[in-house]
Amino acid sequence: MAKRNDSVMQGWNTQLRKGLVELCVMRLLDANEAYGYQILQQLNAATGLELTESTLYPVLARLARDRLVKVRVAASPAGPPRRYYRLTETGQSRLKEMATHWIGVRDAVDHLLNNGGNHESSGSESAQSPSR
Amino acid sequence: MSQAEANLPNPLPDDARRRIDDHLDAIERVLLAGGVSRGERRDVVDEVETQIYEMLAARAEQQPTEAVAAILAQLDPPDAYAPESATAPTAVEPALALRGLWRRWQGWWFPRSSVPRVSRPAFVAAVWFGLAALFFLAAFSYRRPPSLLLSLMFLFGMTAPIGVTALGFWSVRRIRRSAGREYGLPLALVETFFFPIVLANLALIGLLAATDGAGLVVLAVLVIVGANIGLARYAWRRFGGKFLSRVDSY
Repeated sequence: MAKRNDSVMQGWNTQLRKGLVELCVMRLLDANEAYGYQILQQLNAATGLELTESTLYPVLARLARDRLVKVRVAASPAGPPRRYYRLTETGQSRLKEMATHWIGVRDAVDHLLNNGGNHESSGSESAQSPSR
Repeated sequence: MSQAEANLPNPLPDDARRRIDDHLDAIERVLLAGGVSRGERRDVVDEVETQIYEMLAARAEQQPTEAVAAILAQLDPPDAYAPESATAPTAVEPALALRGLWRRWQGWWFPRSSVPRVSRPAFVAAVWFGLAALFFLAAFSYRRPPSLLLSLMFLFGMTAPIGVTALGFWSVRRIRRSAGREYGLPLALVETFFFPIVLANLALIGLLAATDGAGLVVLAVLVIVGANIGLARYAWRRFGGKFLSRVDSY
């Protein structure tokens, strides 16, 4: 039973992380140009999302296909050329929309978790604070 | 040598390069089966290849073969690249599942790997030939009245002359155009010419049997042997010899 619960939790965590990867990648590329492996390292260092390449690279390919990022290929001292990604203008406006939406969702979920869905008890959050 | 290796300070040993290629090919196959477009597949595989070489550069002090093995063990397995639609096709999306199957089928017939491998059509033709021969033997050696299964086996055997010849011809063309990525030319030549030569022999025997005179037996044997040698030499010169002179590894 506990094993099944762990597996369900792991699946939920994976889905949650996958949903956030695109937002995090776009935010990172809004600030800096970076190549694939570098993005992976930076995101893992900064967010603790425990991303792996099988999640990140398809996302990068999809963002490039949708012209939300532009790609610059440059030689690498380590071997094959690196593909540097940077957010396009379309990508920047999409990022703004996504960030606004995310903040709305985050606040709503925070509110729900803190107040148990009781709209009138916003002042007594500590009384029903869940174990997060 | 790939561009990736050309940039490395020292070229990778063959087995290390082959392991990387196999890993990248496996990822590509998973993406192909998942219906991912060609451009995205290439992007993903290129990124993984770049990452492998970046990680290799960080392990410069280690033996390349060991370093590659350690890196590949650290990376996600190819199955992790399966899009969710491919790992769990839903009942409302049979077209997507069919497309995935079709692409997997295509991927098997037309492998994109740079590692040389036996021509797939030549391999299928050889299996076809072997099964047809077995089925024929079974159909003719079975004493009971013919059953549906035996009839089907006989019919399958009857398809071999056309199927094996066509696949053999196709594989000869593919091998010659593959620039070394596919091998098995002798097998493909045998598959291409076996049934036509058998047919030509049967026609000659029939023709000579129809003519009267026991003295013609020697002449018949000479004509048949001569025709076979002539056909084999023609086939080898036309398709095999010229190719061998250009690619001596075959």
